[in-house]
Amino acid sequence: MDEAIVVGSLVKRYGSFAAVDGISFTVNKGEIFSLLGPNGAGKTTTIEILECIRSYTSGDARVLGYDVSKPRDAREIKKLIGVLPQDFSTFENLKVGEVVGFFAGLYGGKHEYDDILQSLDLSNDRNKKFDDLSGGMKQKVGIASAIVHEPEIVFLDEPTTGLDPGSRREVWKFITRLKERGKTIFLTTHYMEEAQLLSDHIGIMNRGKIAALDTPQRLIAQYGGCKKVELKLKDESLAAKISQDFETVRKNDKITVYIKNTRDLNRLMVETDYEDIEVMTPTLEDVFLKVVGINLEE
Amino acid sequence: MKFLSVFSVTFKQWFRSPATVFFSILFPLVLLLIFGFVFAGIGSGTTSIYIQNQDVVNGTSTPLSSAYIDALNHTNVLDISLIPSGVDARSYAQNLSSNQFFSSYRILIIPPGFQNETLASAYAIRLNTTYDTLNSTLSDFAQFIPPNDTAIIQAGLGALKSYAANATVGNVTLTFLSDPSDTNALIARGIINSVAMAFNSQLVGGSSVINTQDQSLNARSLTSVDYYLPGLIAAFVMTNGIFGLTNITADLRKRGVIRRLLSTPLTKLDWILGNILTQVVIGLMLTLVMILFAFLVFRVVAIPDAFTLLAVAIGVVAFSGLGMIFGGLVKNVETSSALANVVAFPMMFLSGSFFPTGLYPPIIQSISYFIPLTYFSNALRSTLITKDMTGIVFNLGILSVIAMVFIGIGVWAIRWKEN
Repeated sequence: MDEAIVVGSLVKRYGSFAAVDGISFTVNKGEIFSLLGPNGAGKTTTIEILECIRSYTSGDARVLGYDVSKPRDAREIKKLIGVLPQDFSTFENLKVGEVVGFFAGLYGGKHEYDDILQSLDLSNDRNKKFDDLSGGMKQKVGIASAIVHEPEIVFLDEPTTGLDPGSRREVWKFITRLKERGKTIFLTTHYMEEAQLLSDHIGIMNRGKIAALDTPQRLIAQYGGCKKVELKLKDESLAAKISQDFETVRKNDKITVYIKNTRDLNRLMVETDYEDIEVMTPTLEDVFLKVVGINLEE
Repeated sequence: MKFLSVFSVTFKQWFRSPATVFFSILFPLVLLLIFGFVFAGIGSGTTSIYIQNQDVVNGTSTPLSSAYIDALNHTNVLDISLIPSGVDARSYAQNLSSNQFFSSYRILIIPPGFQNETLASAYAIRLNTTYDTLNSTLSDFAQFIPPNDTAIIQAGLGALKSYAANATVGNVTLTFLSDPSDTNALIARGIINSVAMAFNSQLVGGSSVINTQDQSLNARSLTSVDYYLPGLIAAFVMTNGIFGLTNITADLRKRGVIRRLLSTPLTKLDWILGNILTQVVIGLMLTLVMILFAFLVFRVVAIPDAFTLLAVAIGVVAFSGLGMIFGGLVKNVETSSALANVVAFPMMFLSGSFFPTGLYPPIIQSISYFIPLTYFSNALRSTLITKDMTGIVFNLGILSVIAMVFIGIGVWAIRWKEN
C-alpha cells in the first residue's frame, strides 16, 4: 500500500453550510503534500478530520489504511501521526525538555529526544520555561513534540508562521530531512515559496472544494503558462484588447499577462506600447491567484 | 499510566504559578487567621468598661460599692478603668478613647448613696420576710405552741411590724452608658446584671438553688476555631476543585492545548484521572498545612486520620466533577469562572462551613441539606474534631453518592472530540 492518506468525497456540514464540500485526494507515503487555501477554505477542518479529532458528515477518509470514523481505528491512527497545530501552545510553566518529554510519554515506551532538540537548535533552551520563549522558539518546541515518537505521518499546520527567515529555512531543512527518513508530511502554509520548494503534491482548497490538485510544476505550467509579463501601459485603453487575447490580472496601474509560448511573448512585446515591462517566470503564487482570485500572502 | 504524565504536568503547572499557589494555599491560611481572630474572640478576651463610683464618703468609696466593683473585676471578663467621682464621666471616657480608632466605650455609674439605700432596702426586705415567716408559722402550728409562748411571739411580731413600717424598700439604679451598635456592650450589661442579682440575693439572705455547670459534649473542650477549621478546609478544597478544573479546562481549550492533546493517544479518562489526582494532592497539602497552621497559631489539636484523607479525596472528586461540568458546558474562561463563582460562594455560606446552620432561619437550614458542601464540612468536622464515627460514615456516604453523580455528569460534559 503506497497511499498514506486517501480522502474520497469528504463532506463536513454545519447545518446548511458545507465547510468541506466533497473533496477527494490521495497522499502517497513518503511525500510532502501541501494543502493551500484562503482562511475559511476548509483546510483546518480537513486536517482535523484526518487527525481523528473532528467527525465528518459523509464520504470516506483513511489514514494508513485505518478508517478515521471508527473509534478503534482512530486510536491506532493517533499512535502513528504527529501533529503541529496552528499557534502551538502548551502548559506554559513547563520547561522545554518537560514539554517534549510529556508528549513522548503519551505514546508509551521510551523515546529519546536529545537529537530532535539538537536538530531544532533547542538543546541550550531545554531548561527554559515555555512561556519565556519567543513565538518562533515555541513553534520549534511544537515541531519537536509532534515528531518525538517517530510518527509515520506528520501534520504541520503552518509550521513557519511567525518565524524569522533564518529559522524558517532551518525548519525547511528539518522537514526535508524528515522526508528523507521516509516520513509522510501533510503541510499547510501561507508561504507559496515554502509550498513550491518543499511539496511533491499540492492541493488548493477554496470554499470547501479542491480547486486544483497536482505537482507544483504541473500546476504552474497549467495555470501560470510559460512566462508572465507585467506591463505598465502608456495607453490604458489597450488593456481591454490585451485581455481579449491573453489571460490577465489587473493590479493597481499594472497589468499582468500570462503567456503560453514564446511566440505570443514576442507578439505582445512588439505590438504593445508600454511605459515599463518586466518578464518573469510564473510561480505558485500566480497559480493561487488565478485559482482562488486572491493573493494569500497579502 | 498516561494519567501519571498528566498529573506530573498539571501539578508542575500549578506549583510553578505563584498566583495560583497563593489562592490555593496561602489565601485560606490568611482567611483562617482572620476568622480565628475576628470571630473566635482570640486576643485579650475581655471587654473594656469605665466605672465611675459616685458612692464616696470622705473621699473613700463605700465598702459595698467597692465590693461590687471587686465582684465585677473577678469575673475576668471586664477590663475595668475607674473614673474619678467628681468629673463628667462621659467627657472623661470620650477623651481617653479618642486616640483609639473605631473603639467604642462603655460606662457604668454607681450612684451616690448606693451602699446606704441598698442596705436599707435589704434590711426592710429581711424584716418583712421574717415577719411573714413567723406569722405563718404561728397560724399553721398554733395548736402545738404553749399559750404563753404564743403571746410572746405575738408581741415580737408587733414589734417587727412597727420596725418594718419605718423601713423603706427602695430601688438602687446603676446607670450603664453604651453605643447601641456596640455588640460588646451586651456582654458587659449581662455581667453587670448577673453580679447585681447575686448581690441582691446575698443581701436578703438568699442562697443559690439553681446552678449551672459547663460540660463539653465532646471528649475534649472545643474552641471556635475548632468549628471554623474543618469548614474552611472544606470550602477551599471545594473552590480549588471547582475553579481549578473549570479554569484549567477552559483556558487550555481556549489556547488550543486540548485540541493538541486530542490528536494524541491520551484518552479522556487519562486526562480526567490525572487532573483529579493533581487536585487530590493539592487538597491534601492544603488540609495538612491548615491543620499545622491552626495548631501553631490557635493551639487547635485536629489530628487527621485515614478518614480525613478519604474525606478530602472524595470531596475533591465531587467538586472536581462539578468543575468539569462547568468547564465542559461553557467554552470561555470568563463565563465558566463566573458560573463557578455563582455556585461556589452561596454554597460556602449556606452549608454551615463558616457559621453553624442552627443560627440560620428555618428555610435556610432546610436548604443546607441540599448543599453538597454541607456533607463535606460535616464529614471533616467529624473526622478531625469530634471523632464521631456515625457522623463520619453518614456524611462520607452522602458525599460519595454526590461525587459519583458529579463525576458521571462531568465525564459526559467534557468533550474529547470537536463537533
